[in-house]
Amino acid sequence: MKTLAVYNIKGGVGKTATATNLAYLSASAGYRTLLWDLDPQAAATFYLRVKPRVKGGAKKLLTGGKAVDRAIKGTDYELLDLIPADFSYRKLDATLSREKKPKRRLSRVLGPLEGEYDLLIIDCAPSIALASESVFHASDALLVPTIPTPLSLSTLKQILGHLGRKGPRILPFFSMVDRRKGLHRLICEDRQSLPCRFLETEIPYSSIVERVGTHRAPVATFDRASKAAKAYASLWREVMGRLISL
Amino acid sequence: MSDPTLRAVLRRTVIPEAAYRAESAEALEAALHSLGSRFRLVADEPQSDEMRFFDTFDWRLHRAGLTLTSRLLARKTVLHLHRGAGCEFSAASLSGNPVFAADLPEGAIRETLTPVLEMRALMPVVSLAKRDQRHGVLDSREKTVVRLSLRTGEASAGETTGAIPPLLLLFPIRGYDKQFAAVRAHLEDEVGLARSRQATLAAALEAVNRRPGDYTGKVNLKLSPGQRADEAARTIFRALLDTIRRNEQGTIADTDSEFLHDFRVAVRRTRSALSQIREVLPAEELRRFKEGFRWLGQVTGPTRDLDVYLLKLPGYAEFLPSGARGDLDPLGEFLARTQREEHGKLVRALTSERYRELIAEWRDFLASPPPPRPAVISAARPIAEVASESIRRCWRRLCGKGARIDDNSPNELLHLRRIDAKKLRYLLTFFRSLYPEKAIDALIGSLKKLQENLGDFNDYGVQQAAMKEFAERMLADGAPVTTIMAMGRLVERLEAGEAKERSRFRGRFAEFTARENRELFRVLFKRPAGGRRIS
Repeated sequence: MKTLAVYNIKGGVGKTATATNLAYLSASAGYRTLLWDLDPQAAATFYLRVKPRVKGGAKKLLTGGKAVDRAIKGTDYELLDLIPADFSYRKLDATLSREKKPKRRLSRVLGPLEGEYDLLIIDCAPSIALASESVFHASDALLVPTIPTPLSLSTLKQILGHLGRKGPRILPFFSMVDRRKGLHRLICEDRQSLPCRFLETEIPYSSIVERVGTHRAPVATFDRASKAAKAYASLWREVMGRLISL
Repeated sequence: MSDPTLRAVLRRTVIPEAAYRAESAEALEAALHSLGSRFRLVADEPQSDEMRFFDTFDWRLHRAGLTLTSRLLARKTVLHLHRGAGCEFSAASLSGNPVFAADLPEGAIRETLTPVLEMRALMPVVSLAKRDQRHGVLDSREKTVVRLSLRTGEASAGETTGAIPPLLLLFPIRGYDKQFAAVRAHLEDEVGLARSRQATLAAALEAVNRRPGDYTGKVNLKLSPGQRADEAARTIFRALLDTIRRNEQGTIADTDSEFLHDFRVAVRRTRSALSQIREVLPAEELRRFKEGFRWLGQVTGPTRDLDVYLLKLPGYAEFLPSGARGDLDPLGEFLARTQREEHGKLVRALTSERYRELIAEWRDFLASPPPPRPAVISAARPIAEVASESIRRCWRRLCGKGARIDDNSPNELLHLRRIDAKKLRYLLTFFRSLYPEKAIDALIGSLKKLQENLGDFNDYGVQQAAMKEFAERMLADGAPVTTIMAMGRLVERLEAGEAKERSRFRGRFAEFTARENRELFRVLFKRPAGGRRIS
């Protein structure tokens, strides 16, 4: 099982849309996929129409074993399962800090899922605290949606600086790209000046992506031919290629 | 992460946890309607696809409680293996149909099937062009919590086609067990549907008039003790002829080695019965059939021998140190090539006029009604008497001649006792239904042990001779010296095996002829009071 975390310190960068759409594409490619909505806002859980509740909350879940097994819900899509968000996740840092070796906690909890899934995608809450550290420890790669603005790039530099050479592979890509904006064009085209290598795919800013919320379904299921759907498909192929080589 | 189409995956949502069948589509529609009054049901898009069920000719998967299906997905064959009615199963894929266990992609399916299939080939049993009208049961969030499917379709096997009875399948979704249980309870308690196991396969087989397990290489006859002997004999011969006929095509196509094996066993059993069940059918007429089946035994022999060596080859390699195993590769190639040549000759024999005539005449002979006043002395006697007589005669010969074998007896005498034991075994098998099951099975089990010893002893001897002959021919063809030397080492191992089995014979023979068995034979096959002794 490979673990891919979709993460950014900043919120509102298209993180949940990325996690949900990639999870759907992975499952429809035949991989047994599990999406863990670790964001207490529960957007991914809402998109997949599952009740945002985990019995016993984060505390119980962190005990691992059967608690994880019981929390998993099948979605409307074949091969795609979900660990729903729970309101208790907002206190995940505090819950973790009471555990022994908190940074390794998530890896240990996820261990038993190894043979059951091929890919785990974690939709992380925007923060950089103990919970994120624990996610970093459990992940093979960190997918970082980045809006092409100087501020976003400096956030990315922070992440790069924080993780250094150890830790998961960092895979940034441009998200919510609006080609009508000069600044977006400028940054996307000047790849030499970026702090690290970006994935080739850009996800355009699009009303379709926002409609994921009203349809409560992945883009590919309601508008396969749209630019956004094609962009996610291309992102999936790229991410997949990287994951295989890891 | 590997390519999903090339590795085994465990999928939970595809296999139905519960399946129901009804005699009409209307009945199931009504059930669905009733469900709709209790749950929120939405119809999904109908799905049509074709699935194929596989098994070996002798239904090994069915007997092991396994179902193997394939579907064509994106030009690849996706395999699903189901165990029982539960949801444990795996999927893998490859291009084209699988034939042997070794052709399956690595993973759970291959691991599960290898010991079940052994040397047998997978064959498509029935295909089903199915249409699933899918429905989802929704909760208040419009989330699907249970999936249903109304399945109809057309099954086909060869030329035979037929519609399957409509099925209603229930698929659970992980984490929604309560909802699943509620839907199931409604269907079973309110609507009154009964669950059925392996519903789709059973329905498809029924539609093409096939019964799972409709072939087995074993003789399983129901005779009644008072039946006229000539009628019973005809029943036995007809069953054997049926086995011969059913293995013909697979033998000619060389689908796997076991078609020829079963074919030959049936021929040998026929020959054995022809000589062992005496004075029941007119000897004059039997003569040409005896001659015909002897010929059939001969023409099928060389291919079977080579099949056996090919099957044993991996075991042979294990006799050698790991570094020298590759030395046997030229032997494998030689065997495969020679097998192809011999099989070619075999095909010519089985498609010849002589073969066709033999089978047709034998069939006509067996179909002809027994004469009301038979000239043959035992023809009208009850089969139980004749059977016991034949078994007694065979047992006496084996016991008498076997007891005379000591450490100095020539090998040839052991080989003759092997034949005697085999004849006895065939008789016990043919007439098994005439005797108390427990007692006769105990005897067969006991005889089997003796036969294993004699069989292994014989095999070791025959294999040594064959290896020497192969080595000579291969040497003439310029085979590498290392190969010939490896074969030499093999012969040594075979010699050692032969000596070991020989040293075991007296013990095995003593076990078989121990008082307990003698007593059993005496009681089971006793001469009826005042009965005549013929032979």
